[in-house]
Amino acid sequence: MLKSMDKYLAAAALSAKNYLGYASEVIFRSGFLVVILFVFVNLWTVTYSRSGAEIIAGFDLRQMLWYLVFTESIVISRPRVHLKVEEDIRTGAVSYALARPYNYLLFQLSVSFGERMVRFISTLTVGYAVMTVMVRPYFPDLSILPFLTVTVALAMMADLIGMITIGFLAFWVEDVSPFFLVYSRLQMLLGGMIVPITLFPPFLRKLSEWLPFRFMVYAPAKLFVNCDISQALSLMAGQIFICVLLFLIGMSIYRMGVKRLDVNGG
Amino acid sequence: MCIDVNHVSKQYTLWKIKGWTRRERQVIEAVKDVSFRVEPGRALALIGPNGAGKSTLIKLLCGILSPTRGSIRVLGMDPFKDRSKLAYHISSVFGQRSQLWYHLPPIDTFLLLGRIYDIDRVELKKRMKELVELFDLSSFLYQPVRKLSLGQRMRCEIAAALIHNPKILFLDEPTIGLDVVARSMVIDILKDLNQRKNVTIILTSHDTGDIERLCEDVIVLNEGRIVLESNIREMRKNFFHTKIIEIEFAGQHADLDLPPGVSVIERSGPVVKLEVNLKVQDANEVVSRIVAQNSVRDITIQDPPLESIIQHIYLSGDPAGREAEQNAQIDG
Repeated sequence: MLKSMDKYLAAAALSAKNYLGYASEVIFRSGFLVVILFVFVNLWTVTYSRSGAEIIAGFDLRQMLWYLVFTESIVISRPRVHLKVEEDIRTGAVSYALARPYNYLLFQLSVSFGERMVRFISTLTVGYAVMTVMVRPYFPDLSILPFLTVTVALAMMADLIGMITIGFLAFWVEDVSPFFLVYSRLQMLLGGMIVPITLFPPFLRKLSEWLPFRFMVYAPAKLFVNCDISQALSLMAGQIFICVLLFLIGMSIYRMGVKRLDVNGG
Repeated sequence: MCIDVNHVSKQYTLWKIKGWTRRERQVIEAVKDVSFRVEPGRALALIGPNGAGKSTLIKLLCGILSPTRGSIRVLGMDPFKDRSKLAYHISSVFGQRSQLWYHLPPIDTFLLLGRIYDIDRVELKKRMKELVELFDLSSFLYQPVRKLSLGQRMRCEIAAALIHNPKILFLDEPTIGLDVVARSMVIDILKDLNQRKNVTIILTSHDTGDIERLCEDVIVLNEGRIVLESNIREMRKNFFHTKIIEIEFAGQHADLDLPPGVSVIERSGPVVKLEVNLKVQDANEVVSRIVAQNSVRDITIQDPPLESIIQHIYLSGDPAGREAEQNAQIDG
């Protein structure tokens, strides 16, 4: 099992190394976060001062701002793996991957995960520096860091598997962008990227609890600001379940697509 | 037996769009009742015009597609059912697809492929050393792929495809876009691999020069069918019914008195090119006659290029039958 995972770990590491070649994109992407954070800091400062409340939806102002640094870093770091998969299917490159001894979904997951980790770390570093200057530094409890690392990794994996699965729809449709648009907007709204889901009205909150998006964005960011280990374990269990479920859905769609490939002559 | 293909056909479905909403289903038979065998260590060229079924056949051999009818055995395995097992024993190079990581040096791709093919670290190091020497990669092994020339990149592509020591190598247009020197180097290395390491090579190419230098056997496909399966030397013998004689005369020469079956195809100063129809005339006799009648400085006898035979085969559809018929008429 470990030996068979070795190739995927190697692919993730190489992808991270390869992505360092895109230094200018890393800088630009991180620079964009500065603008977003500047807007959020001003928006939430005004919101808290006008409402007069110290805590909104379980977050004080400082927690809210650090929560947003984290959610933005997770979402901005997302590579366009659905388009890569779409291109592979459209150009027929996916059929050549069949003749290699690896699982195509896991391989794409590894490659996009490696790239995403570099983007996430660079974006979070910039976000951390900006927030330290604009608000004040934040030091999460060190004991939470291992849990946080695993939670972030699982959140990204769940999201990437979802994106790869959307890419697989290219076996049937010419353009997967509309599907991704719906997926990303749902994630943005119901995953807690812009506002924490605890701020939602009850029915919307209920809905977001039933959807997988909160495991991808809200949950790791919440853990980052409240450092609750007991929450971390149940969160990780939920994330593992979502990853496995999405993987099974993705593989079923992929297998159906590959059958179609055979029928359509590759 | 390395590859055994028995009465294989492959159909697939295409949807034609007619008007705004109407779609019409069309069944295409990309490969039609194809049978052939390849012995280990042979080099076989699959040639044919675009849409002849070459790529479909390669995909069937690699296990990417399953045959609609017939059976295929590659190294004793069913390529479609045993695809993951077979993947460790075969490899492919597609001239227009790269497996190298663009921003990283080739060595990084080699190391990753070593992990993908579950190669032991010591074995991988040994294998890489061999390939670096064979393909002369040492001077650019640590340079990012984006900074390599096309020739250097292709050498790395082929080396990468050989990292797991495959028994069969599928090559699809491996020399496309390469200059003469790079092309020659790639073909020499492949020839060496085939002859010294006994790697079976299946090549598809539109370049007859590559085919002639590398392959012993050829299969010509047209519209999904095998129209010719032959040894390249045999093919030359069976399909060349002409020879080209190039003569450089010493000084002026009078009008040539040419026997039937010989015609002038080019004249340039003292140099004259003749085409001899071997069914009518013997080339050696023509040479003797010209040398006896004229003062000749230089003379060469050539076969027409392989390209012209292939063109002839494509155009004639079923060359084996038609040629045999023509020969029978001449003999009779």
